[in-house]
Amino acid sequence: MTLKEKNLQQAVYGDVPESFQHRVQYALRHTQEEERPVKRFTLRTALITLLLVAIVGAAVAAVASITADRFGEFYGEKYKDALLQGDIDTTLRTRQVGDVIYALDDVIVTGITLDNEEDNRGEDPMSISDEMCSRIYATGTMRAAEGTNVVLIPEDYLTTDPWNFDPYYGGHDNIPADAVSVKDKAAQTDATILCTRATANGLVGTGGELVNADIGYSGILQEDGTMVFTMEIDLHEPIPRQDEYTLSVYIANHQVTPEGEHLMDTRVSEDWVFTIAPSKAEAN
Amino acid sequence: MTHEEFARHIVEMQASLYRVSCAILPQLCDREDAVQSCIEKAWRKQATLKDESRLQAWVTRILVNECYAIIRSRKRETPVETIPDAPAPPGSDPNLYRFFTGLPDKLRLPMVLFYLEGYEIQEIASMLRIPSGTVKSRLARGRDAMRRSQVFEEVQDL
Repeated sequence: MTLKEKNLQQAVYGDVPESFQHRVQYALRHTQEEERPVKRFTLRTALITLLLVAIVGAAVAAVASITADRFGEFYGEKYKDALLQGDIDTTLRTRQVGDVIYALDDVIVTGITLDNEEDNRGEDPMSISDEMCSRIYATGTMRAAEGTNVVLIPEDYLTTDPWNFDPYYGGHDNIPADAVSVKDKAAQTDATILCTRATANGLVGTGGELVNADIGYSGILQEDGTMVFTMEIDLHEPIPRQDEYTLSVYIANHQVTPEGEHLMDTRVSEDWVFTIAPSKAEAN
Repeated sequence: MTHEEFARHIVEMQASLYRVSCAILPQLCDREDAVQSCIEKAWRKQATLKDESRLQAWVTRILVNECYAIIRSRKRETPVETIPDAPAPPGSDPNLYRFFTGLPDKLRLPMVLFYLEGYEIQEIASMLRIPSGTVKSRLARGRDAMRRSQVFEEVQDL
């Protein structure tokens, strides 16, 4: 079989099951019963429209935000500038689960809206509302607790990968020649290998439920063996800005053998719930 | 877009939607839930889609998000390197099926989107909300896995 085979799609997952096809038909019938969606101009929509501000190339006052810096690396300076116009909570928060400490740097609440669905954040035109919250960003660090003997890896890592270089972000072809693998590093001190993650469950609503949102996250190994984690909460519907927001973050880790077997029965985890009180960034 | 047109497009792409859901959710019932939520959401939001030629990519991204929402709501940990064993589905090649299901989660979806569904790297980056460099790295790791598996007679580089 070569990748050029036209029947590769069929060969991997086979035929579409009838039950799946039936569900598609059911969903289409259900949507047909709904009123065709039209844009309704309500007072809320009008208010949002009036408050939207297009980004211009003017210089933005420099504000220290690790989160803005990190997402600026992902999506470009334009997006970083947009983030810095949001409300920022810079309170350092930490939580320990098992042998790993999770430290949250800063959280940014923004009213960024991309003007189309292409979502090429670095290039697409965007609008910003100062009155609404549409996206929440956060970064932090995962590190071994003091006195422990562990080597940390992200959730999709191999024990043969370098222990302090992330090929996803550093480039698969740029791994240093003298890189030490995770299992060799662990063997040096008979350390335990821990697969660790920190991902946003989302924004907790007033009734305790999670507000509908799309969640993005990453875990990036650093040269010192710690890991940076990032989170992005993209609300399906913007909500009015608030004085406080309650966030829920899933933090977890479990052991991995040097051979790469994940021991899921060793997993320890927690839904870390905390409240932030972001404020407008102060200009320097 | 009329509902009739929307429905026709959805039916045309349902095989692709099925394959994408397979790449994320191991259970058929969850895939069905995800595609239903996806279709309903896509219909409600279709007025926001500016370029109808991108409908399939747009719907696929909604589906990816719905699949992950199901995973989060169940708070299930899908082991990175251990996928629940399941028989190869009817009509599939068992070796290929085992190869793709045996890939780590984060490699499997980009591989399916790129090699099975033909999306470009930037499209995949947009769907998965990750930098395009990350997509490239994951595809590189996937191709390494292809070479090691010897399931494919030849593996092209990007």
